[in-house]
Amino acid sequence: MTKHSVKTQPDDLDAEFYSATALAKRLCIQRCTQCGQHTHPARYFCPACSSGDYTFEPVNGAATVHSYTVSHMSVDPAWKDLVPYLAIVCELAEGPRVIARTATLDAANITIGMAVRLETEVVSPEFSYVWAHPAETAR
Amino acid sequence: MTKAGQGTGLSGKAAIVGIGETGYVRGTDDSILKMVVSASMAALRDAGLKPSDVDGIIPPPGFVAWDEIAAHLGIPEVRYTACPQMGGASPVAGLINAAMAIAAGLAEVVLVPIGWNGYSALRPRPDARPNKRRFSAAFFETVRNYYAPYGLRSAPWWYSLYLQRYVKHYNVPPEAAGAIAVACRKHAALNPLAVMRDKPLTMDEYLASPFITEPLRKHDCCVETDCAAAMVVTSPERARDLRHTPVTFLGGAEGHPNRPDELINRDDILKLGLDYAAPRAFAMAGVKPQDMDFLQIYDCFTYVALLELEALGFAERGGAADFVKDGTIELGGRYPLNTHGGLMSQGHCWGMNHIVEATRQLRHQAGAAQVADCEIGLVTGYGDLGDGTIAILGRDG
Repeated sequence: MTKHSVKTQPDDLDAEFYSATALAKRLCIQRCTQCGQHTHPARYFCPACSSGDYTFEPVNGAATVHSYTVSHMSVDPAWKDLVPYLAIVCELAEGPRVIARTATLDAANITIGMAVRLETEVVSPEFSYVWAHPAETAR
Repeated sequence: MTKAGQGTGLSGKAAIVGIGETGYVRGTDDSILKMVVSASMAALRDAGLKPSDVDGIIPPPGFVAWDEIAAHLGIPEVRYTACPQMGGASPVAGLINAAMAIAAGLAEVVLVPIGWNGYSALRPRPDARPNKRRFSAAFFETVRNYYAPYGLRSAPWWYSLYLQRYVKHYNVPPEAAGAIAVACRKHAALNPLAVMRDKPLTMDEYLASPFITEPLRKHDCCVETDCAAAMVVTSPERARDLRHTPVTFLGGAEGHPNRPDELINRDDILKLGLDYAAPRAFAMAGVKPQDMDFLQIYDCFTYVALLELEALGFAERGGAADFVKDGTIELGGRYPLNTHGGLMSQGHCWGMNHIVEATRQLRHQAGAAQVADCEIGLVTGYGDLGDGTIAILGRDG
């Protein structure tokens, strides 16, 4: 599906995030075991309650478009043939925001606040893509 | 009339006495180190000081370090160094830090240089020696792990993630960003050192320029440049014995978004570091935004400059379009902005060129771009993922 040229080198909690997501084959977000707050990117101490206890838990994939950009050129060999392409800042129902790419949403019709549904594509234990789809489409 | 004396804290405790810069070029055989020490020596000569007068160095956040600067300039005894790490907000942070060191008695004459090969790094000449000088920042990890895989590899792409929300949520017209680009280009035409001095830009040409990544058009982006610039800062007492009218530090502050190392998980992704810093700087100086005679605004991208104008209090959030129209920010208008051409059209020297220009203006040595009888103005910095700095400067006398 994808021409991958991902050069992530996650360590610390970024590695735990990608590893948990790859294992579950679903987007897994850090959650504080004391107060329940979701945090992304993951942090050693919960920004809400300062607890250091956490798990990574799957999220349900419901989100809204918080912002986006449509790129009409790219310096990245993996992307320059894909212009124009969307990168979407998606706000998860659980709170945190993640970036998603898309093959089913149209740059001409995307609007801030619109509902989307997120899916995860595991690339490696060190990286997974988040893909955004129209909210009403079936899984 | 001096504005010093009505402020608090560090207000009035230091002055800029020397400025220096290299050419602003797109392609050079000079190394970053050579450009940085050349601009530094030029700043010392401008001040009428010798390397042996310098006892403090605030080096840039990358590329060169304080110890080699000291060694190449022949500074015999360094008593103070510190290195603010906030990209394009660093030069103004360096000024604040220099003022603090001087006020505290830790140093008397502080050199603050910066420079880079912003053009040549991406376009090395075939026969050029490999450039090993690098700028590094912790947020590059965020970029590598979360942004770059989505085709968001460098600054226009990162910042568009929040700038598009600014444009769409507040219906900011492209003409507002275009007003910044056009004003900078008009001012560059008056500056013999400006990269874009011979390239006029109309609003129609701005609007017709292609999108890089929305909302950023080509003409929303500053020019990649090889250059260096420096300032020399000392006490107000010593400043009055030197060659030029001192330019007094009246107030300054730094501020940072929460969370500073990542762009999109902030409660308000449009709230810049400058939103936090500006009220503190005006309070320190004991002045209002409306007291300013000119604005040197960090303009890596036009829309960032619009958000900065709002953070400074010149407009409500989303309202900068009304502020920048009708020539208000052009020479002859009420608030001339980036009278040297800015990063947009003079060149990208990390905003040190904004401090150099503010100093020239307040000395009344700005040539064709002189803001008549100016007494007070401000300089902002913006760097990394939204760090913000501001300095309010006044003419001594």
